[in-house]
Parts: sequence; C-alpha cells; structure tokens
Amino acid sequence: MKNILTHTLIRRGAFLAVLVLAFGSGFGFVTERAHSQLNLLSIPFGGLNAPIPCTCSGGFLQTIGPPRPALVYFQAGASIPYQFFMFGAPGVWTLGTFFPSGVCSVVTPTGCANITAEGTVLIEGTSLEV
Amino acid sequence: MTRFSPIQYMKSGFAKRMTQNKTVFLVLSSVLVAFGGGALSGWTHLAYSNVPCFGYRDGVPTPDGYGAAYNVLTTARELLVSVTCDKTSATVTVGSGAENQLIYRYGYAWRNNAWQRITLSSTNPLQGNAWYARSANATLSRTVAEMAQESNYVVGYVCQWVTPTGGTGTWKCGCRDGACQNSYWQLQYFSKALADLNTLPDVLTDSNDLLLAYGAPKYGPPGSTISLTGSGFTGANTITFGSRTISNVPAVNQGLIRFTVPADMPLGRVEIGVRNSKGIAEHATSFMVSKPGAVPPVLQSIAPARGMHGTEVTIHGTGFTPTGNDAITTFGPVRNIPSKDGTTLTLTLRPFPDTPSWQDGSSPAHGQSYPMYIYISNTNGVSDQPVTFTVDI
Repeated sequence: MKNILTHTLIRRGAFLAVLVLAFGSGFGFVTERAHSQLNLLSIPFGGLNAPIPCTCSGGFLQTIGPPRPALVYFQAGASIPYQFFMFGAPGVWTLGTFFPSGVCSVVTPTGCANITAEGTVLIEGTSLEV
Repeated sequence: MTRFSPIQYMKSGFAKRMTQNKTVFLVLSSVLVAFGGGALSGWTHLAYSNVPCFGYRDGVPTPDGYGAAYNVLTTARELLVSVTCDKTSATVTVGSGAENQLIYRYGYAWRNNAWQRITLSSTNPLQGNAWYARSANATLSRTVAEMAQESNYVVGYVCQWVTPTGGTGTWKCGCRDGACQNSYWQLQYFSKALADLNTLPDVLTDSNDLLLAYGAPKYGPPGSTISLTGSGFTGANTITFGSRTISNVPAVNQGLIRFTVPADMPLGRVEIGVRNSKGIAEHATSFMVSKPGAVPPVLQSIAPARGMHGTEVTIHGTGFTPTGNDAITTFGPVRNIPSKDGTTLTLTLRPFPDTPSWQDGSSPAHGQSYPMYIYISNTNGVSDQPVTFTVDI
C-alpha cells in the first residue's frame, strides 16, 4: 500500500466543507455529496482490528493496533467496506479513513453506556486470512 | 451473487439513515464546525491528481477469461495495465516500459454496459500500424458518478519477446499465467475508492519495527512464491511456515519478503510468521497449500440470503472438498465444513457468539442488519468472489 499521493493541506477548503456540511445537514440534504465532503476531513488508520459490536447503537467499535492505531466506530450504512470486507473479524489487517466524532453504545446491566471513539469510519479495506 | 457497491451503500443506508436521524448528524456537524477554527489545521486534504486507482495486481486473482494486468513472466510482477485517476478522468497505461514489449494500439473500456474501443498513444513511433514499443496510454473522461463505480473495466494487450536460457526466442502475448499457453485481453479496473485507499499514508513503511501485515497470494501449490508485506524486514529473516522453519531469507526491501513454499509441504492451511534481529512479528498471516492444478472454489449463491443470527444457510458452488472447507466470513471463520456432493455447503452463521443480545434479538439495536461476506477456502484454493448474507439482529 504505497503512499502515492502528496497530501496537501487546504485549510480553507476543509473549513468550507464543514460549513457546507453543516448547512446541508440542517436542511436534511445529507447525501453522497456530504459523504464526499467528509472525505476532505479524513484521517487514515491502519493495523490489526479487534472489533466488538455496539449492542445499543448498532455498528462496531474497532480497536486498530499499530502502526497507525485508532479507536473507530464502524457504522453500518455510513462506513463503506471494501475487499475483503472482514470489518467484523478479529486479527485481520485493516486500513481506512475516519472523520472525527463517533459514539458506540453498548448494553450494560444498568442500560446503555456510550464509548466515545476517535471517529467514524469513512472507508475501510481489510486483508483476508484463510 | 449479491454484492454491495459503495453507491448502493450510500443510497440505501447512509442517506436514508441520516435523514431519519437528523439529530445525530446535526450534533456531528456542530462538532465539526467547532473544530473548524483550529483543529482543522492539522487535517489533510486528499487531493486527486494522477493517483493510482486500479485493483488488479500480483496477489489479486484475475477473473476467468482474461489475461493478467501484471507481468506473470517475471518475478518482479510489474504492472502491464495500470490506471491513474483524477476527479473526472482516468489515464490507462499499457506496458511496463521494458524494451521487449509491444503494445497493441487499441484497447477497450467498459462503459454504459458495453465495451468501447479506446485508442492508445505513445511517445514511441507506431510499428506496423498496430503496435507501440515499451508502453502506451489513453486518457478516459468520466463523470464523478462514473468514477465512483466499481465496474470501470479496461483491457489492453501486451506482447513480450522471451528468450529462455539456451532456447529460441518467442513472442508471449496476453498472458494469464507463466505458461502463457493462450492469449487474452489483459483486464484492469479502476475506481475512486481505490484512489482513496491509495492516498493513505504508507502505514507500513512508516514503521521501523518488525511487523507482518499480510501475505499474497492466499493459496497455491508447493513451489509457489509468497510475498509477505510488512516492515522491519532485514537481510536475514527466519520464516515459520506451519511446522517448517525457513532460515536466512533475505528481504527484497524492508517492507517485502518473498519465499517459496517447500516442495514437500503437506496440503492444508498454515500460519506464517517472521522473526529477525528486530524481534518476532506478533501477527501471523495464513496461507492455504493447495493441490497442484486444482481449480479453486467458485461460489454461485447462498440460500437463504437473509436471516437472523443462527440461520442455517446452504452455499451453492463448485470445487468444495469432502471435508475441510473453511468459510471465511466478515465476522470470523467457520472451519471444517463437509460437503457431500462437492457443490453444496451447509453451515450455521453465528456472528459474535459471545454477545447474547445478538443471538436472542434483545439488542436495543434490534432491527439493524449487516452484510456478511463469505469466502470459501479449501485445498483446491480460495474463492475469488464472496457470496453475501444479510444478518438481521
């Protein structure tokens, strides 16, 4: 997985994207366009995955190990999986991007408890371990 | 065969979910706006300009009926059909630039459900009205929506002059494997999503620590070459391959090791590890030693295609072995599944078996569903494409 692209810091573009995103969400126009705007804010992660199901909120909390660790929320329907689609399997190599903010809610004896993630997965590909 | 495309995902899930739960998204947007003034300065923008965006390469199976997008006649496995993407265009390059290659001046691109001819150009002169030496390319204009599709296929055709040691030179064209008995159009595909993944930092070579990420291919007979990707590899690595130990394996570079499956290796699944002077790679990857000449499983359908936790499903296909079929699923493997007829496999799907609320439907998240992708692995190989089951919780 080579780093092929030069990463360019565009503060103005990112800030504009946030404004457009906030504007769009306020009117309920959250579509593929908004998703592509979130891509502007994407933060990469990569490492071994240890997932648990978010039994109240749905989705999965993924603890990603080194070398690019993260605690991310995989939200079904919003997070886009790519080959080999093993986002719920422990011990597979996982690589992707997330945007800041995400909460996984799990069942406890006293109700649901929130676990704050570093962010919500935008895209994610995995290895295949036979 | 059911497969969720990114567009389907966004249309059916993301937009619907977000419009249904606007509050969540408003909170999220507020957080983002709050961050806008300061924290954004540390974020990166993934700009698109000639980013590699292709899918087929060494280790990714080539579909039946097509030639490989990479050079199967060399150990370097260099790319012969590759694509780079901008936001609304894709540039297809055919040929690796080697002196012994001729590139047919025409290729085809899949668009609007049909193959459309494309004409390549090159800085090298046209030879015999049909061939360019070394490499040639073509730029395809596409809409943003088209770039997002996963069905952006292109084919090219490369001939290579090969002279075996002590033998007579010959042309090998459109090769699919090292024997190159037949010639095919050489298939590649591209998408924006692949560009997205390729724009990620190189998380592997960022690290100097010993790390084993994955191996490719995932199956092959004794004598196969396996490439291990990771970091911290040195000039003398010890590979553990199942019960065998292979010593003093030099790395191609600090992120890549290649080694050969021992000729007398028994068939079956093995785990691969690496150790060297930097330590022991904690993560082991896996490989299926398959029968020489065997045809890997092909998955055709799954029934039912949707159900609750604990649903018994039957997978229809070919290439299943009487015993020892492993279902590699999104939520972990189900191993040692028998097949009486070689064409059906029956198994029970229980993702997260240690989570009671997933099993009895008592989860507050009840009503949600997840795609569960399933590959089959056995001593014939590993299925190229998965079947998909939707699990309702």
